[in-house]
Amino acid sequence: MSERARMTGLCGLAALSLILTACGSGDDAASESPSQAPGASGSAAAPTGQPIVIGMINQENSPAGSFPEIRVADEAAVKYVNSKLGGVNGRPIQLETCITNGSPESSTTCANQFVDKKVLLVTSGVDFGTAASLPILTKAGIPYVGGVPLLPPELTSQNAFMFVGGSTSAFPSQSVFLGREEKAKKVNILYTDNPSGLAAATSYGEKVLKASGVTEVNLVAEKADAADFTAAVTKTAQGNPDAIMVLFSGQGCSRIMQAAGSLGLTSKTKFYYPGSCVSSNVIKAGGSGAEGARFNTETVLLGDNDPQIKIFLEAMKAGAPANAELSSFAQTGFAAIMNIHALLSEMAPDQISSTAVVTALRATKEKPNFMSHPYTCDGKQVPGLPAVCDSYSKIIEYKGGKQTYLYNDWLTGADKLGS
Amino acid sequence: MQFLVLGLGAGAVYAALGLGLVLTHRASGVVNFAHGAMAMYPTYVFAELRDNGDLVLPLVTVDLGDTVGLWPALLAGLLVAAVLGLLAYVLIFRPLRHAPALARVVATVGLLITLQAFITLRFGTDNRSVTAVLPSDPITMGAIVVPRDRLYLAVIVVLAAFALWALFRFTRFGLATRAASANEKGAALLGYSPELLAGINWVLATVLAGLAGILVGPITALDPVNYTLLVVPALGAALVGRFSSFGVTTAAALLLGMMQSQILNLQTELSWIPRSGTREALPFLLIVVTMAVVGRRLPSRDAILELRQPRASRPENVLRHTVIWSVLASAGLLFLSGGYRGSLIISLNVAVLCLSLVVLTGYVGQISLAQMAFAGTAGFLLSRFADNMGIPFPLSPLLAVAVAVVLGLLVGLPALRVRGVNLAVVTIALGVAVSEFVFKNPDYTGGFEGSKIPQPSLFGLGLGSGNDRVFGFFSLAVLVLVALAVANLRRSPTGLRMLAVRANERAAAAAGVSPARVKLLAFALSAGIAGIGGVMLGYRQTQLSFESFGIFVSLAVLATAYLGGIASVSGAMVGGSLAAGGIVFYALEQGIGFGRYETLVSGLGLVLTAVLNPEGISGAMQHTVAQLRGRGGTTPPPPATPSQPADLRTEVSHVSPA
Repeated sequence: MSERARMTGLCGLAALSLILTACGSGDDAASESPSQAPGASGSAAAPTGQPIVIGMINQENSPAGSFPEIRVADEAAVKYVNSKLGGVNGRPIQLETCITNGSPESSTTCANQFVDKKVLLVTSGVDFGTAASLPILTKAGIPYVGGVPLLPPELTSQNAFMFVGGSTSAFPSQSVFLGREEKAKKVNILYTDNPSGLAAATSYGEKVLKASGVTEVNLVAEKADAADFTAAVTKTAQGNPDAIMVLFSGQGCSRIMQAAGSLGLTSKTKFYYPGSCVSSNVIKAGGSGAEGARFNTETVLLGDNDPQIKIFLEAMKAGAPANAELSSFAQTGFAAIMNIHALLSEMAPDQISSTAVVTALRATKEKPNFMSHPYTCDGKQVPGLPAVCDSYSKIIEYKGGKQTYLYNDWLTGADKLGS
Repeated sequence: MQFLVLGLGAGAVYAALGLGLVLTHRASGVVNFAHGAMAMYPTYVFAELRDNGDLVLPLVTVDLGDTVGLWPALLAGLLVAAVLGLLAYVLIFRPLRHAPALARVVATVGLLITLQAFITLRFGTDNRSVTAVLPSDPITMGAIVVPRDRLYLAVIVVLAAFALWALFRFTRFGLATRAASANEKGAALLGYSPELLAGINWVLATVLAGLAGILVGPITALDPVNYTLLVVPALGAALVGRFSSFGVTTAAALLLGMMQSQILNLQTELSWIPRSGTREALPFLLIVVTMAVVGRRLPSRDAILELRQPRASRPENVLRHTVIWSVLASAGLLFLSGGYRGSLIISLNVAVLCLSLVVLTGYVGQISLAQMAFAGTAGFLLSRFADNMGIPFPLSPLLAVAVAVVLGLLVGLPALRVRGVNLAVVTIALGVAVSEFVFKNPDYTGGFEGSKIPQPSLFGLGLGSGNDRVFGFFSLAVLVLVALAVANLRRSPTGLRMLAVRANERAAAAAGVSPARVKLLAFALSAGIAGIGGVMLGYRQTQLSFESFGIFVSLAVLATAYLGGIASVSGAMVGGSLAAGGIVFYALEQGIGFGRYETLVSGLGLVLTAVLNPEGISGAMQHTVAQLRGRGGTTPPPPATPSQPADLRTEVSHVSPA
């Protein structure tokens, strides 16, 4: 308890020092932008005001995982905002990207760089190094907004704001779906053998499943880089469970699909994978085992007749390379920029500062979330994880080369995480 | 039973790589840590040909249509493997054939880093499905269901082991290879070229690795991390086979896979088996114990010829150097802005980790690939002591470091009987075991929230964290203290004993130096220094997770230290500045956007250093300075004494009272 108090004290101090610096940069903006951007507001004319600098940290070229599609989507979104929406009330958004390899040192370098550049906020794609980079940004008062939350630091930080819940949305909403809609009684969970994997399996999976009416839950752990997944998949499928929940990402998903396929299990048992695995690469590598796989999704499907999907597809066509991947990660990245744009556009141009962004985010309530369920950044959406602004998902199924909704309403299990 | 059979899949993967490891070691005495990475490139070539019909060579891509048939693709993959093996031998391992074990280990680590970076740049890190060569539909035997290809693979590796055994036992080529590895000169006198034999064996080993990679691709999935890491269990199996027996290695590998599968099964049934890391830790603990029991207290006769150890010159002008470096660093801390200052602080912290290797590897010649296990132990304990128990500043890090010292002593125990490259294998196994079993265990390291570390303060004065200026000076002070201690160690009689053990254990023992005591002391000191590095890392990041202390981080630290100069204090300083995220790296990144190629360049740099310049950059600089001075005629150049015994003689005469 006392350490929490101390932490809060530290945060307060850090915030105070940040307000001072942030106000400084805010003044600069105020003195220049009105003179430079007269009449540009609201129109689609090229924005001419002082640029709003946003940093983006993304993990690429790393053996542990590379996610260039998120940066590509962010860049396309910024191009769209500047060319079609007239920037933020006449001020263009300038996206500064920094590529990390996910190591603490590399992500620290990115964070330091953005502190030097006094960016308004930092958005991210995927970054395994947030344990090291987030404290630096927090100290500098730069909020960390959007991106794909995978690891504890970006979920638990008071300075992070995530428009989607990642694993905190995937497993609870699947659990509710299994218990409430499918009336499953026995569910087995195969999870990544590391501390956050175990925590997710027990608190997002097991706990919510049991609260939703599932009576028996068994946990099996396997390393993400195991030589062969068949033993773990066999173990998880033992005892004929009604469903199997998989807590892995990317490569792990496809290897589990492969193993399930070569063991002939997919026809017998339903496998549920996290939304982060909805990508053509994963499904292709999964082979026959991908058939009938179920996922949650935090963004609406590309096949939907939805105006925002239309914007996404058009903007990607105009602003991204022809072979750019349109995965759920790409959607999430694109949506983050669109949400940031919407938020900044509502602020008075001379009031835009890092602190003001934090205040505005904290005050959001059921705010429209691009291609997704509305978000609320009051820090209370998921107990214990103040950074998560939205935890709703839908459930989809992959069959015959197509993704279709299995449950086309927004689901959350966040209310069952607390007790 | 079901799980024992399923374990054959993983076991076959380990065995396939283990066989190649034994082959390379028998041919050229190299334990190739890059063996998995070498299997990876041919497999990628094969997968790319099958998927897109592109033949991806290091610099160019040749489009051969939409897809390429199974056999031509397989042939192309194996050809690429052959060329890779040949190049690796001719360019790296032939020049190193008389080099000490350390240089060879470092070269293979450099090769590993290079190949991994190259694959990442050339092929990306996306999921790869390797088209199956073997049918994978399930086969049902009573209650047991197992994919067919796992069984076929197990049969194939057993046959391959048998074939290799027969090749070495009955053919002239095999006999000649064995002769050449036992006595190179003798084999040459009989008219065999040891180099040609070794080259052929390297090609054979890489082709086998490529074939194994292609066959196991559908099981393991192809990505740059997986393939590289698979070498660790394979090394374990090869170690049990003493890097010489194909049969024992294969049996050990298959058993290891089956054991792991069975443990997975029991883990969920029996609650007393820890959930985290048991499968990875248990086999390696067994290996460590086996090696410690089977190993010999003194090296055998053939192992004493260790030439060209990196020169560990006696630090001169310590005070002057300390002042110059400190003033430079202080100026940097005072005048550099956030990003540059942050990277300078990373350099100061990494230099401490490098110093831990200077003591252990530079002075005593013990190769450790587990430095981050010591660092992590201290870091996580610091969090326990300071955050959970509220122990105040100077006491909590000291306690944490003390525990790291104890761990160092424990790790040092096998080193009394295991040496050279075998020790490297034992430490890599230990590094993996500690990382999997301890660092990933939420009970010890805080689980989901990670381990928090409160900001240190002394007399009510905060010492900061991250890229704070105050924290920079704190880091500098720690580094100066450690560096002075290491420099003084080198000048002390203990330091001389360490060098004596490094040069020749038998001779040192004959001269009354106890190699056991010296080694244990070095391990304890080195672990303590690494622990200090871990504590500083914790203070800098304010939060720790297991990722900071993985096996690849340990390899990177060894690489950095070696690149800078493994046997001198100034080498550690150079190493620190070259570290990933360090000051040189940051400047290059800012200046020319170098980040993308950083890993590739550091891997290549490491290979080059190992082959051409074992004293590292600092050694090369000192050498140049000495040469320039020699030309200027002010000071005579140091006597050209590359071999350690001569070096030691001058040292000893230097110290002995006149």
